[in-house]
Amino acid sequence: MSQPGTRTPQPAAPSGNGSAQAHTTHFGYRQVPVGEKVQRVAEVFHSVAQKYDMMNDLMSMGIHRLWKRFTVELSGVRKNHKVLDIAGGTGDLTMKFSDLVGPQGTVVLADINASMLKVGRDRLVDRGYGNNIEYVQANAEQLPFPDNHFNCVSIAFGLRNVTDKDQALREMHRVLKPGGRLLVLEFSKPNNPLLTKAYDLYSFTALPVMGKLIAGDSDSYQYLAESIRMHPDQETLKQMMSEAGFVNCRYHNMTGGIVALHSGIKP
Amino acid sequence: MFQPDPTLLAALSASLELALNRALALDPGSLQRLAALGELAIGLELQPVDAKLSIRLDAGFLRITTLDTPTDITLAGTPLSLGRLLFEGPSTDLGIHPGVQISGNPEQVNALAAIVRDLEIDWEAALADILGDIPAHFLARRWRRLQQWQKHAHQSLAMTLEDYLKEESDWLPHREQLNDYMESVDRVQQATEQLEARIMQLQAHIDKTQT
Repeated sequence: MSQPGTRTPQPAAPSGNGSAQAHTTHFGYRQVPVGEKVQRVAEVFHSVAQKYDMMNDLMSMGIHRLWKRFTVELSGVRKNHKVLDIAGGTGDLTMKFSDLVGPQGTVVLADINASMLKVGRDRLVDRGYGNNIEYVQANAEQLPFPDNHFNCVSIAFGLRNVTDKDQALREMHRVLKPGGRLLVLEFSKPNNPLLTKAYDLYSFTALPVMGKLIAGDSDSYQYLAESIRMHPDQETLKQMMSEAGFVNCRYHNMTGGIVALHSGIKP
Repeated sequence: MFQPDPTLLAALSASLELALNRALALDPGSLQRLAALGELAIGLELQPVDAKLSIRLDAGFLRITTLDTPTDITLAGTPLSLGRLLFEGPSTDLGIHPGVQISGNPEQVNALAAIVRDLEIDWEAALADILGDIPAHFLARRWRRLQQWQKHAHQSLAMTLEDYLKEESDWLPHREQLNDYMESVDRVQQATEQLEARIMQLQAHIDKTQT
């Protein structure tokens, strides 16, 4: 296992995508049986669900709202569109999409984790959202939707927790209509060495402490820092999207590459 | 050219969206007039960085995005000059504000300029929501006095300067002299045009008789 604060290369065998043939996949810096990862990730999110929004604001100093704002801007979502927000969690993107699609459109908030979905649904209902939003507990690797169904699919800060990312990208491709757009907002690799050092220091020291103090759970935030380092970098993810069948794949580095927004079109 | 990080542009568009919608909420008449313009897309080009913002009115709410999409009207200027346009209003009838270049459909440009010119944002009411009525009134009164003094000082300086240039130094003509001169120029221009028309008429007559 690698030490915190160091960069760890992707595990060679499954390329970080959880191939069933390799039998193990990464969970942070640890190798776990493929079947166990879903359960472990679920435990992390059951643990942090209630404090998720507060922790997001604290950890990112509110900047996650700007990353999501840019994501929605790039989506091109308009009135009457059907949008799927995978790993939608507490519904930040869903709310914005709901405003854009209008009463005749639909936004599906999907999350594999029941606790996150419940927090998201309660939050949206409390804010008066409801008529054009559906809630679905779903695994990104096996989406329960017909082919060619959505105008836009988004997944924000969720793909790195998926065991088989290639399968998930293929599923997103399947449910999109031709011409539909996939948006993947995810932590990535900073493009400045100084920023990388500061970011590593922050991730492996401040985040677990904040997690302990606010959410009473430092392990989950240790996992967060580790899982970010294990996630494919910008170019690798772009290549994975192309291999899943998307065209015009491109990415925007945000905040010096700490986060990247990838987009691709289903031909 | 310097390309700002999307995070910065998103922060800018979010702040501007909040400020503009708050300002328009304090002047509902202008919001209605803006809505009457229909599906209008306004582009903002922020100089000297290569940053473009797009403003669209959607159900009484101004949405600002960082996307470079086609727009009906484009306002280009520094953040300072665009900010002054919002808070001070236009200072000339010809353009909207010095330092702001405007382009697009002339009818829509004029309609937008008229709305900006007539903006009457009730800053005192906004301040009262935060500070309470009495402090807000006190501050607003001070602010109005400061503005009046500034306006008076500006006019006084302009008059003194005009007096010096016209009366003392005799570097500039009086308005009457200038008007006489401009009228003479107009008369010469009119006479020249008439002469040109007469020559063309005679030329046409000559051409006709020769054929």
